[in-house]
Amino acid sequence: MSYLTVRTRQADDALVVYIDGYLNSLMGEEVERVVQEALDAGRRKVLLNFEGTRLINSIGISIIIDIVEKIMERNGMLAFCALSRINRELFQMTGVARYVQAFDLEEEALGYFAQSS
Amino acid sequence: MVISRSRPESARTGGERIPAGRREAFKLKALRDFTLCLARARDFDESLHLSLMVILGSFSIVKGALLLREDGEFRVRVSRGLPPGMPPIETSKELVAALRRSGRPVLMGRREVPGAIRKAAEGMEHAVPAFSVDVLCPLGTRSGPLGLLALGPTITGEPLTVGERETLGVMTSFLSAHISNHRVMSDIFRLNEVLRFQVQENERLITGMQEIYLDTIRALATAIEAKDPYTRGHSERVARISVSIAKGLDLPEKEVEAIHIASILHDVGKIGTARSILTKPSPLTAGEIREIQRHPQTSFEILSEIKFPYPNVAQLARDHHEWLDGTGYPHGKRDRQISMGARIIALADAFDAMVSDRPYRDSLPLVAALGEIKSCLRRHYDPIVGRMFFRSLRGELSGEHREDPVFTALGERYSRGDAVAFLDRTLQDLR
Repeated sequence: MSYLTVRTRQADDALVVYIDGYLNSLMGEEVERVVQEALDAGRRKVLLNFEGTRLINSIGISIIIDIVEKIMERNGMLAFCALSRINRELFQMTGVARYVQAFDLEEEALGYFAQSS
Repeated sequence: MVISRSRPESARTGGERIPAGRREAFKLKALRDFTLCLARARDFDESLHLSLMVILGSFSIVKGALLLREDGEFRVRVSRGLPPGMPPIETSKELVAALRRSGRPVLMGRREVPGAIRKAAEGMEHAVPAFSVDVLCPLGTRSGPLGLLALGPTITGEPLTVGERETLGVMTSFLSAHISNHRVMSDIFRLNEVLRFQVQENERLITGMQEIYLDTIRALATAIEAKDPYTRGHSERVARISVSIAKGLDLPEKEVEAIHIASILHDVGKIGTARSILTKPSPLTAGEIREIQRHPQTSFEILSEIKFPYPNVAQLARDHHEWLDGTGYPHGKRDRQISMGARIIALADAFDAMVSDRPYRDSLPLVAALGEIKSCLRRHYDPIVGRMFFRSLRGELSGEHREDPVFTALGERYSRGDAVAFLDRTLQDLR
Protein backbone atom coordinates (compact mmCIF):
# COMPACT_ATOMS: atom_id res chain seq x y z
CA MET A 1 0.00 0.00 0.00
CA SER A 2 1.36 3.36 -0.96
CA TYR A 3 -0.17 6.57 0.32
CA LEU A 4 1.09 10.11 0.54
CA THR A 5 -0.31 13.26 2.10
CA VAL A 6 1.37 16.58 1.42
CA ARG A 7 0.49 19.45 3.75
CA THR A 8 2.02 22.89 3.88
CA ARG A 9 2.15 25.73 6.33
CA GLN A 10 3.62 29.19 6.15
CA ALA A 11 6.12 29.98 8.96
CA ASP A 12 7.09 33.65 8.57
CA ASP A 13 8.71 33.84 5.14
CA ALA A 14 9.35 30.08 4.92
CA LEU A 15 7.16 27.33 3.49
CA VAL A 16 7.10 24.15 5.59
CA VAL A 17 6.11 21.03 3.63
CA TYR A 18 5.03 17.95 5.60
CA ILE A 19 5.54 14.75 3.62
CA ASP A 20 3.43 12.06 5.29
CA GLY A 21 3.48 8.51 3.95
CA TYR A 22 5.41 6.94 1.13
CA LEU A 23 7.53 9.03 -1.21
CA ASN A 24 7.77 6.25 -3.80
CA SER A 25 5.31 6.98 -6.60
CA LEU A 26 4.12 9.65 -8.98
CA MET A 27 1.99 11.02 -6.13
CA GLY A 28 5.28 12.52 -4.90
CA GLU A 29 5.15 15.03 -7.74
CA GLU A 30 2.70 16.91 -5.51
CA VAL A 31 5.72 17.95 -3.39
CA GLU A 32 7.40 19.35 -6.52
CA ARG A 33 4.20 21.18 -7.36
CA VAL A 34 3.77 22.92 -3.98
CA VAL A 35 7.44 23.97 -3.95
CA GLN A 36 7.24 25.28 -7.53
CA GLU A 37 4.09 27.20 -6.60
CA ALA A 38 5.85 28.81 -3.62
CA LEU A 39 8.89 29.75 -5.74
CA ASP A 40 6.62 31.20 -8.42
CA ALA A 41 4.91 33.25 -5.69
CA GLY A 42 8.29 34.72 -4.78
CA ARG A 43 9.10 32.64 -1.70
CA ARG A 44 12.72 31.57 -1.30
CA LYS A 45 12.82 29.44 1.87
CA VAL A 46 11.53 25.88 1.94
CA LEU A 47 11.72 23.37 4.76
CA LEU A 48 10.82 19.74 4.05
CA ASN A 49 9.61 18.01 7.22
CA PHE A 50 10.10 14.23 6.97
CA GLU A 51 8.68 13.32 10.38
CA GLY A 52 5.75 11.40 8.87
CA THR A 53 7.68 9.98 5.92
CA ARG A 54 7.61 6.18 6.06
CA LEU A 55 9.74 5.44 3.01
CA ILE A 56 11.71 7.15 0.26
CA ASN A 57 12.79 5.16 -2.78
CA SER A 58 14.60 6.09 -5.99
CA ILE A 59 11.49 7.83 -7.31
CA GLY A 60 11.40 9.90 -4.12
CA ILE A 61 15.09 10.74 -4.51
CA SER A 62 14.43 11.92 -8.06
CA ILE A 63 11.71 14.21 -6.69
CA ILE A 64 13.95 15.59 -3.93
CA ILE A 65 16.82 16.19 -6.40
CA ASP A 66 14.44 18.09 -8.67
CA ILE A 67 13.42 20.29 -5.72
CA VAL A 68 17.08 20.90 -4.75
CA GLU A 69 17.78 21.94 -8.35
CA LYS A 70 14.75 24.23 -8.58
CA ILE A 71 15.67 26.04 -5.37
CA MET A 72 19.33 26.34 -6.39
CA GLU A 73 18.28 27.90 -9.69
CA ARG A 74 16.36 30.60 -7.79
CA ASN A 75 19.11 31.10 -5.16
CA GLY A 76 16.69 30.00 -2.52
CA MET A 77 17.20 28.16 0.79
CA LEU A 78 16.22 24.54 1.41
CA ALA A 79 16.50 22.55 4.62
CA PHE A 80 15.31 19.16 5.87
CA CYS A 81 14.14 18.26 9.34
CA ALA A 82 13.05 15.25 11.38
CA LEU A 83 14.87 12.71 9.20
CA SER A 84 14.89 9.09 10.30
CA ARG A 85 18.30 7.41 10.46
CA ILE A 86 17.60 5.48 7.25
CA ASN A 87 16.50 8.56 5.32
CA ARG A 88 19.52 10.52 6.61
CA GLU A 89 21.79 7.75 5.29
CA LEU A 90 19.90 7.70 2.01
CA PHE A 91 20.51 11.43 1.49
CA GLN A 92 24.19 10.96 2.31
CA MET A 93 24.56 8.05 -0.08
CA THR A 94 22.86 9.86 -2.94
CA GLY A 95 24.86 13.07 -2.41
CA VAL A 96 21.79 15.17 -1.61
CA ALA A 97 23.11 15.76 1.94
CA ARG A 98 26.04 17.71 0.53
CA TYR A 99 23.72 20.48 -0.60
CA VAL A 100 21.01 20.52 2.04
CA GLN A 101 21.44 20.97 5.76
CA ALA A 102 19.41 18.67 7.95
CA PHE A 103 18.04 19.57 11.40
CA ASP A 104 16.51 17.38 14.04
CA LEU A 105 13.70 19.81 14.89
CA GLU A 106 11.51 22.04 12.75
CA GLU A 107 12.16 25.00 15.11
CA GLU A 108 15.92 24.63 14.67
CA ALA A 109 15.57 24.76 10.89
CA LEU A 110 13.24 27.76 11.05
CA GLY A 111 15.66 29.46 13.47
CA TYR A 112 18.43 28.89 10.95
CA PHE A 113 16.30 30.43 8.19
CA ALA A 114 15.54 33.43 10.42
CA GLN A 115 19.26 34.03 11.06
CA SER A 116 20.05 33.88 7.37
CA SER A 117 17.60 36.54 6.31
CA MET B 1 23.50 29.17 3.09
CA VAL B 2 21.65 26.00 3.72
CA ILE B 3 22.18 24.72 0.20
CA SER B 4 25.29 25.34 -1.70
CA ARG B 5 25.69 25.96 -5.39
CA SER B 6 29.31 24.89 -5.52
CA ARG B 7 29.67 21.26 -6.47
CA PRO B 8 31.19 18.85 -6.10
CA GLU B 9 31.92 19.40 -2.46
CA SER B 10 33.86 16.75 -0.65
CA ALA B 11 32.72 17.49 2.91
CA ARG B 12 29.55 15.64 3.88
CA THR B 13 27.23 17.73 5.97
CA GLY B 14 25.59 14.63 7.41
CA GLY B 15 28.79 13.62 9.14
CA GLU B 16 27.94 9.97 9.92
CA ARG B 17 29.53 7.00 8.17
CA ILE B 18 27.27 4.80 6.06
CA PRO B 19 27.29 1.19 7.23
CA ALA B 20 28.87 -1.32 4.85
CA GLY B 21 26.39 -3.00 2.49
CA ARG B 22 23.95 -0.06 2.46
CA ARG B 23 25.10 1.04 -1.00
CA GLU B 24 24.72 -2.50 -2.30
CA ALA B 25 21.23 -2.69 -0.79
CA PHE B 26 20.33 0.66 -2.36
CA LYS B 27 21.49 -0.61 -5.77
CA LEU B 28 19.38 -3.77 -5.44
CA LYS B 29 16.36 -1.78 -4.26
CA ALA B 30 16.76 0.53 -7.24
CA LEU B 31 16.67 -2.47 -9.58
CA ARG B 32 13.58 -3.76 -7.79
CA ASP B 33 11.91 -0.31 -8.05
CA PHE B 34 12.73 -0.35 -11.74
CA THR B 35 11.13 -3.71 -12.50
CA LEU B 36 8.12 -2.85 -10.30
CA CYS B 37 7.50 0.42 -12.09
CA LEU B 38 7.62 -1.33 -15.48
CA ALA B 39 5.15 -3.93 -14.27
CA ARG B 40 2.74 -1.72 -12.34
CA ALA B 41 2.44 1.38 -14.50
CA ARG B 42 -1.12 2.02 -15.71
CA ASP B 43 0.00 2.70 -19.26
CA PHE B 44 3.06 2.88 -21.46
CA ASP B 45 3.69 6.60 -20.95
CA GLU B 46 3.48 6.22 -17.19
CA SER B 47 5.95 3.31 -17.33
CA LEU B 48 8.45 5.49 -19.24
CA HIS B 49 7.92 8.39 -16.84
CA LEU B 50 8.50 6.15 -13.80
CA SER B 51 11.50 4.43 -15.44
CA LEU B 52 13.20 7.77 -16.00
CA MET B 53 12.49 8.84 -12.40
CA VAL B 54 13.88 5.60 -10.98
CA ILE B 55 17.04 5.89 -13.11
CA LEU B 56 17.59 9.54 -12.18
CA GLY B 57 16.92 8.82 -8.50
CA SER B 58 19.12 5.71 -8.45
CA PHE B 59 22.18 7.58 -9.69
CA SER B 60 21.35 11.04 -8.29
CA ILE B 61 21.12 12.50 -11.77
CA VAL B 62 19.37 15.83 -12.05
CA LYS B 63 18.24 15.94 -15.69
CA GLY B 64 17.35 13.38 -18.29
CA ALA B 65 15.30 12.66 -21.37
CA LEU B 66 13.93 9.49 -22.91
CA LEU B 67 13.53 9.55 -26.67
CA LEU B 68 11.76 6.94 -28.79
CA ARG B 69 12.37 6.20 -32.45
CA GLU B 70 9.26 7.15 -34.41
CA ASP B 71 8.91 7.90 -38.13
CA GLY B 72 12.62 8.09 -38.80
CA GLU B 73 13.59 10.29 -35.85
CA PHE B 74 14.18 10.08 -32.12
CA ARG B 75 11.47 12.07 -30.34
CA VAL B 76 11.41 13.08 -26.68
CA ARG B 77 8.71 11.03 -25.02
CA VAL B 78 9.42 12.00 -21.41
CA SER B 79 11.95 14.26 -19.70
CA ARG B 80 12.80 15.62 -16.26
CA GLY B 81 14.45 18.85 -15.30
CA LEU B 82 14.33 20.07 -18.92
CA PRO B 83 12.10 22.64 -20.57
CA PRO B 84 9.54 21.20 -22.98
CA GLY B 85 9.97 21.39 -26.74
CA MET B 86 13.32 19.66 -27.31
CA PRO B 87 13.42 19.03 -31.07
CA PRO B 88 13.72 15.47 -32.40
CA ILE B 89 17.04 13.97 -33.51
CA GLU B 90 17.22 12.65 -37.04
CA THR B 91 18.15 8.99 -37.28
CA SER B 92 21.05 8.96 -39.70
CA LYS B 93 22.49 5.65 -40.91
CA GLU B 94 25.70 6.45 -39.01
CA LEU B 95 23.83 7.05 -35.75
CA VAL B 96 21.83 3.82 -36.08
CA ALA B 97 25.02 1.87 -36.85
CA ALA B 98 26.90 3.47 -33.94
CA LEU B 99 24.05 2.77 -31.48
CA ARG B 100 23.83 -0.84 -32.68
CA ARG B 101 27.58 -1.29 -32.22
CA SER B 102 27.88 0.25 -28.78
CA GLY B 103 24.78 -1.41 -27.24
CA ARG B 104 25.62 -0.11 -23.74
CA PRO B 105 25.67 3.30 -22.00
CA VAL B 106 28.19 5.64 -23.66
CA LEU B 107 30.07 8.07 -21.39
CA MET B 108 30.40 11.31 -23.33
CA GLY B 109 33.55 12.37 -21.49
CA ARG B 110 35.56 9.60 -23.11
CA ARG B 111 37.67 10.16 -26.21
CA GLU B 112 36.53 7.12 -28.16
CA VAL B 113 32.85 8.19 -28.43
CA PRO B 114 31.62 7.52 -32.02
CA GLY B 115 31.14 10.71 -34.02
CA ALA B 116 27.44 10.13 -34.75
CA ILE B 117 26.63 9.62 -31.05
CA ARG B 118 28.60 12.70 -30.07
CA LYS B 119 26.75 14.68 -32.73
CA ALA B 120 23.38 13.51 -31.37
CA ALA B 121 24.37 14.56 -27.82
CA GLU B 122 25.61 17.92 -29.05
CA GLY B 123 22.36 18.40 -30.93
CA MET B 124 20.43 18.04 -27.66
CA GLU B 125 22.81 20.35 -25.78
CA HIS B 126 22.51 22.92 -28.52
CA ALA B 127 18.69 22.80 -28.34
CA VAL B 128 18.67 22.99 -24.53
CA PRO B 129 21.80 24.83 -23.34
CA ALA B 130 21.05 23.99 -19.68
CA PHE B 131 21.38 20.28 -20.53
CA SER B 132 24.81 18.73 -20.55
CA VAL B 133 24.64 15.13 -21.76
CA ASP B 134 27.04 13.01 -19.69
CA VAL B 135 25.73 9.55 -20.62
CA LEU B 136 23.85 8.46 -23.74
CA CYS B 137 22.26 5.02 -23.50
CA PRO B 138 21.13 3.27 -26.67
CA LEU B 139 17.78 1.51 -26.24
CA GLY B 140 17.05 -1.28 -28.65
CA THR B 141 17.06 -4.93 -29.56
CA ARG B 142 18.95 -7.01 -32.11
CA SER B 143 16.55 -5.80 -34.76
CA GLY B 144 17.66 -2.19 -34.26
CA PRO B 145 17.54 0.94 -32.09
CA LEU B 146 14.21 1.78 -30.40
CA GLY B 147 15.23 4.88 -28.53
CA LEU B 148 17.79 6.86 -26.57
CA LEU B 149 18.19 7.72 -22.91
CA ALA B 150 20.13 10.94 -22.41
CA LEU B 151 21.34 11.61 -18.86
CA GLY B 152 22.88 14.75 -17.43
CA PRO B 153 25.48 14.95 -14.63
CA THR B 154 24.93 13.61 -11.12
CA ILE B 155 23.98 16.07 -8.40
CA THR B 156 27.56 15.91 -7.04
CA GLY B 157 29.14 16.24 -10.49
CA GLU B 158 31.02 12.99 -9.93
CA PRO B 159 31.01 10.50 -12.80
CA LEU B 160 29.17 7.18 -12.47
CA THR B 161 31.27 4.43 -10.92
CA VAL B 162 31.93 1.19 -12.78
CA GLY B 163 29.33 -0.56 -10.62
CA GLU B 164 26.76 2.17 -11.29
CA ARG B 165 27.37 1.90 -15.03
CA GLU B 166 26.76 -1.82 -14.84
CA THR B 167 23.48 -1.29 -12.96
CA LEU B 168 22.48 1.36 -15.50
CA GLY B 169 23.28 -1.13 -18.29
CA VAL B 170 20.95 -3.71 -16.69
CA MET B 171 18.18 -1.11 -16.35
CA THR B 172 18.49 0.01 -19.97
CA SER B 173 18.30 -3.60 -21.20
CA PHE B 174 15.09 -4.05 -19.19
CA LEU B 175 13.79 -0.79 -20.60
CA SER B 176 14.68 -1.87 -24.17
CA ALA B 177 12.78 -5.16 -23.73
CA HIS B 178 9.83 -3.24 -22.28
CA ILE B 179 9.70 -0.80 -25.23
CA SER B 180 10.09 -3.68 -27.70
CA ASN B 181 7.23 -5.60 -26.04
CA HIS B 182 5.06 -2.52 -26.21
CA ARG B 183 5.83 -2.10 -29.93
CA VAL B 184 4.94 -5.74 -30.61
CA MET B 185 1.71 -5.47 -28.59
CA SER B 186 0.76 -2.25 -30.41
CA ASP B 187 1.36 -3.92 -33.77
CA ILE B 188 -0.79 -6.89 -32.75
CA PHE B 189 -3.49 -4.55 -31.45
CA ARG B 190 -3.45 -2.51 -34.67
CA LEU B 191 -3.63 -5.66 -36.80
CA ASN B 192 -6.45 -6.91 -34.63
CA GLU B 193 -8.33 -3.64 -35.20
CA VAL B 194 -7.90 -3.98 -38.98
CA LEU B 195 -9.18 -7.56 -38.83
CA ARG B 196 -12.07 -6.58 -36.57
CA PHE B 197 -13.08 -3.87 -39.04
CA GLN B 198 -12.88 -6.35 -41.92
CA VAL B 199 -15.00 -8.88 -40.04
CA GLN B 200 -17.60 -6.21 -39.23
CA GLU B 201 -17.68 -5.18 -42.87
CA ASN B 202 -18.13 -8.81 -43.94
CA GLU B 203 -20.90 -9.30 -41.39
CA ARG B 204 -22.63 -6.20 -42.72
CA LEU B 205 -22.42 -7.53 -46.28
CA ILE B 206 -23.65 -10.96 -45.19
CA THR B 207 -26.56 -9.39 -43.30
CA GLY B 208 -27.45 -7.38 -46.40
CA MET B 209 -27.33 -10.49 -48.56
CA GLN B 210 -29.42 -12.43 -46.05
CA GLU B 211 -32.06 -9.72 -46.14
CA ILE B 212 -32.20 -9.84 -49.93
CA TYR B 213 -32.37 -13.62 -49.76
CA LEU B 214 -35.19 -13.62 -47.20
CA ASP B 215 -37.10 -11.04 -49.23
CA THR B 216 -36.82 -13.32 -52.28
CA ILE B 217 -38.12 -16.27 -50.28
CA ARG B 218 -41.00 -14.21 -48.90
CA ALA B 219 -41.85 -13.02 -52.40
CA LEU B 220 -42.04 -16.64 -53.53
CA ALA B 221 -44.35 -17.54 -50.62
CA THR B 222 -46.54 -14.52 -51.35
CA ALA B 223 -46.86 -15.67 -54.97
CA ILE B 224 -48.32 -18.98 -53.73
CA GLU B 225 -50.63 -17.26 -51.27
CA ALA B 226 -51.97 -15.16 -54.14
CA LYS B 227 -53.38 -18.37 -55.52
CA ASP B 228 -55.19 -19.11 -52.27
CA PRO B 229 -56.43 -15.86 -50.69
CA TYR B 230 -57.61 -17.68 -47.55
CA THR B 231 -54.02 -18.43 -46.61
CA ARG B 232 -52.73 -14.89 -46.96
CA GLY B 233 -50.00 -14.23 -44.40
CA HIS B 234 -50.14 -17.86 -43.29
CA SER B 235 -46.50 -18.66 -44.24
CA GLU B 236 -45.13 -15.67 -42.37
CA ARG B 237 -47.22 -16.48 -39.25
CA VAL B 238 -46.14 -20.14 -39.28
CA ALA B 239 -42.54 -18.97 -39.67
CA ARG B 240 -42.78 -16.64 -36.65
CA ILE B 241 -44.29 -19.33 -34.42
CA SER B 242 -41.84 -21.99 -35.64
CA VAL B 243 -38.78 -19.82 -35.08
CA SER B 244 -40.01 -18.85 -31.62
CA ILE B 245 -40.38 -22.54 -30.65
CA ALA B 246 -37.03 -23.50 -32.23
CA LYS B 247 -35.21 -20.71 -30.37
CA GLY B 248 -37.04 -21.60 -27.14
CA LEU B 249 -35.75 -25.16 -27.51
CA ASP B 250 -32.21 -23.81 -27.97
CA LEU B 251 -31.73 -25.46 -31.36
CA PRO B 252 -28.46 -24.58 -33.14
CA GLU B 253 -28.57 -21.33 -35.09
CA LYS B 254 -28.23 -23.04 -38.49
CA GLU B 255 -31.15 -25.33 -37.69
CA VAL B 256 -33.26 -22.35 -36.61
CA GLU B 257 -32.48 -20.66 -39.94
CA ALA B 258 -33.40 -23.84 -41.85
CA ILE B 259 -36.70 -23.98 -39.93
CA HIS B 260 -37.26 -20.29 -40.70
CA ILE B 261 -36.85 -20.78 -44.45
CA ALA B 262 -38.72 -24.10 -44.57
CA SER B 263 -41.65 -22.70 -42.60
CA ILE B 264 -41.97 -19.77 -45.01
CA LEU B 265 -41.87 -22.13 -47.99
CA HIS B 266 -43.63 -25.21 -46.56
CA ASP B 267 -46.70 -24.75 -48.80
CA VAL B 268 -44.76 -23.88 -51.96
CA GLY B 269 -45.96 -27.21 -53.43
CA LYS B 270 -49.52 -25.85 -53.50
CA ILE B 271 -48.44 -24.14 -56.69
CA GLY B 272 -49.26 -27.47 -58.31
CA THR B 273 -52.71 -27.78 -56.70
CA ALA B 274 -55.74 -26.61 -58.65
CA ARG B 275 -57.08 -23.26 -57.47
CA SER B 276 -60.62 -24.69 -57.50
CA ILE B 277 -59.62 -27.21 -54.84
CA LEU B 278 -57.79 -24.64 -52.70
CA THR B 279 -60.79 -22.30 -52.69
CA LYS B 280 -63.59 -24.90 -52.65
CA PRO B 281 -66.22 -23.83 -50.11
CA SER B 282 -67.61 -27.34 -49.51
CA PRO B 283 -66.03 -30.55 -48.20
CA LEU B 284 -63.44 -32.10 -50.53
CA THR B 285 -63.90 -35.42 -52.30
CA ALA B 286 -61.47 -38.29 -51.68
CA GLY B 287 -59.73 -37.51 -55.01
CA GLU B 288 -59.40 -33.83 -54.13
CA ILE B 289 -57.98 -34.76 -50.73
CA ARG B 290 -55.40 -36.99 -52.44
CA GLU B 291 -54.47 -34.13 -54.73
CA ILE B 292 -54.09 -31.60 -51.94
CA GLN B 293 -52.07 -34.11 -49.91
CA ARG B 294 -49.50 -34.15 -52.67
CA HIS B 295 -48.36 -30.60 -51.91
CA PRO B 296 -45.67 -31.48 -49.32
CA GLN B 297 -43.96 -33.81 -51.80
CA THR B 298 -44.19 -31.12 -54.50
CA SER B 299 -42.70 -28.61 -52.03
CA PHE B 300 -39.84 -31.06 -51.52
CA GLU B 301 -39.25 -31.45 -55.24
CA ILE B 302 -39.20 -27.69 -55.84
CA LEU B 303 -36.98 -26.92 -52.84
CA SER B 304 -34.54 -29.79 -53.53
CA GLU B 305 -33.47 -27.86 -56.61
CA ILE B 306 -32.32 -24.93 -54.49
CA LYS B 307 -28.98 -24.94 -52.74
CA PHE B 308 -29.86 -23.39 -49.37
CA PRO B 309 -27.09 -22.35 -46.99
CA TYR B 310 -28.89 -24.29 -44.24
CA PRO B 311 -29.42 -28.04 -43.90
CA ASN B 312 -32.54 -30.07 -44.85
CA VAL B 313 -34.87 -27.23 -45.86
CA ALA B 314 -36.61 -29.39 -48.50
CA GLN B 315 -37.08 -32.33 -46.08
CA LEU B 316 -38.55 -30.03 -43.41
CA ALA B 317 -41.14 -28.75 -45.91
CA ARG B 318 -41.95 -32.29 -47.08
CA ASP B 319 -42.53 -33.62 -43.55
CA HIS B 320 -44.70 -30.83 -42.16
CA HIS B 321 -47.86 -32.97 -42.35
CA GLU B 322 -46.31 -36.09 -40.79
CA TRP B 323 -47.66 -37.11 -37.37
CA LEU B 324 -45.92 -38.99 -34.56
CA ASP B 325 -48.34 -41.95 -34.71
CA GLY B 326 -47.63 -42.50 -38.42
CA THR B 327 -51.07 -41.32 -39.64
CA GLY B 328 -49.72 -38.21 -41.38
CA TYR B 329 -48.68 -37.75 -45.01
CA PRO B 330 -47.03 -38.01 -47.54
CA HIS B 331 -45.00 -40.95 -46.15
CA GLY B 332 -46.67 -41.91 -42.89
CA LYS B 333 -43.40 -41.37 -41.04
CA ARG B 334 -43.47 -41.77 -37.27
CA ASP B 335 -41.64 -40.76 -34.13
CA ARG B 336 -37.93 -40.32 -34.72
CA GLN B 337 -38.31 -40.55 -38.47
CA ILE B 338 -39.72 -37.03 -38.26
CA SER B 339 -37.07 -34.38 -37.55
CA MET B 340 -37.50 -31.88 -34.74
CA GLY B 341 -37.80 -29.05 -37.29
CA ALA B 342 -40.66 -30.79 -39.11
CA ARG B 343 -42.46 -31.44 -35.79
CA ILE B 344 -42.21 -27.75 -34.96
CA ILE B 345 -43.54 -26.61 -38.35
CA ALA B 346 -46.34 -29.23 -38.16
CA LEU B 347 -47.67 -27.82 -34.91
CA ALA B 348 -47.29 -24.17 -35.95
CA ASP B 349 -48.99 -24.87 -39.30
CA ALA B 350 -51.89 -26.75 -37.69
CA PHE B 351 -52.43 -24.06 -35.07
CA ASP B 352 -52.47 -21.21 -37.59
CA ALA B 353 -54.87 -23.16 -39.84
CA MET B 354 -57.22 -23.71 -36.87
CA VAL B 355 -57.40 -20.03 -35.90
CA SER B 356 -57.79 -18.84 -39.53
CA ASP B 357 -60.97 -18.76 -41.62
CA ARG B 358 -61.04 -21.37 -44.39
CA PRO B 359 -63.39 -21.58 -47.41
CA TYR B 360 -65.17 -24.57 -45.91
CA ARG B 361 -65.26 -23.45 -42.25
CA ASP B 362 -64.89 -20.51 -39.89
CA SER B 363 -61.87 -20.22 -37.59
CA LEU B 364 -61.87 -21.99 -34.22
CA PRO B 365 -61.91 -19.82 -31.10
CA LEU B 366 -58.43 -19.64 -29.53
CA VAL B 367 -59.07 -21.81 -26.47
CA ALA B 368 -60.76 -24.46 -28.63
CA ALA B 369 -57.75 -24.53 -30.97
CA LEU B 370 -55.40 -24.83 -28.01
CA GLY B 371 -57.55 -27.67 -26.63
CA GLU B 372 -57.36 -29.40 -30.00
CA ILE B 373 -53.55 -29.13 -30.06
CA LYS B 374 -53.35 -30.34 -26.45
CA SER B 375 -55.55 -33.35 -27.13
CA CYS B 376 -53.39 -34.32 -30.11
CA LEU B 377 -50.06 -34.18 -28.27
CA ARG B 378 -48.16 -37.47 -28.47
CA ARG B 379 -50.47 -38.76 -31.25
CA HIS B 380 -49.84 -35.97 -33.75
CA TYR B 381 -47.58 -33.41 -32.14
CA ASP B 382 -44.43 -33.64 -30.08
CA PRO B 383 -45.22 -32.79 -26.40
CA ILE B 384 -41.86 -31.02 -26.01
CA VAL B 385 -42.69 -28.81 -28.98
CA GLY B 386 -46.21 -28.39 -27.59
CA ARG B 387 -44.94 -27.28 -24.19
CA MET B 388 -42.63 -24.69 -25.78
CA PHE B 389 -45.49 -23.47 -27.99
CA PHE B 390 -47.82 -23.03 -25.00
CA ARG B 391 -45.06 -21.33 -23.02
CA SER B 392 -44.31 -18.91 -25.87
CA LEU B 393 -48.01 -18.01 -26.24
CA ARG B 394 -48.36 -17.67 -22.46
CA GLY B 395 -45.40 -15.25 -22.50
CA GLU B 396 -46.91 -13.19 -25.26
CA LEU B 397 -50.30 -12.96 -23.55
CA SER B 398 -48.44 -11.68 -20.44
CA GLY B 399 -46.94 -8.88 -22.49
CA GLU B 400 -43.62 -10.37 -23.71
CA HIS B 401 -42.23 -9.58 -27.21
CA ARG B 402 -44.62 -6.61 -27.49
CA GLU B 403 -42.35 -4.93 -30.04
CA ASP B 404 -42.04 -7.99 -32.24
CA PRO B 405 -45.02 -10.24 -31.58
CA VAL B 406 -44.91 -13.93 -32.50
CA PHE B 407 -48.66 -14.52 -32.57
CA THR B 408 -50.19 -12.01 -34.94
CA ALA B 409 -53.53 -13.66 -35.78
CA LEU B 410 -55.22 -15.09 -32.71
CA GLY B 411 -58.65 -13.90 -33.84
CA GLU B 412 -61.01 -11.70 -31.86
CA ARG B 413 -63.03 -14.37 -30.19
CA TYR B 414 -61.17 -15.12 -27.02
CA SER B 415 -60.81 -13.85 -23.49
CA ARG B 416 -57.27 -13.28 -22.44
CA GLY B 417 -58.06 -14.49 -18.93
CA ASP B 418 -59.55 -17.78 -20.18
CA ALA B 419 -56.65 -18.37 -22.54
CA VAL B 420 -54.07 -17.69 -19.80
CA ALA B 421 -55.94 -19.96 -17.37
CA PHE B 422 -56.04 -22.72 -19.99
CA LEU B 423 -52.33 -22.31 -20.77
CA ASP B 424 -51.36 -22.35 -17.08
CA ARG B 425 -53.37 -25.54 -16.53
CA THR B 426 -51.88 -27.14 -19.63
CA LEU B 427 -48.30 -26.20 -18.71
CA GLN B 428 -48.96 -27.65 -15.25
CA ASP B 429 -50.21 -30.92 -16.85
CA LEU B 430 -47.19 -31.08 -19.17
CA ARG B 431 -44.61 -30.79 -16.40
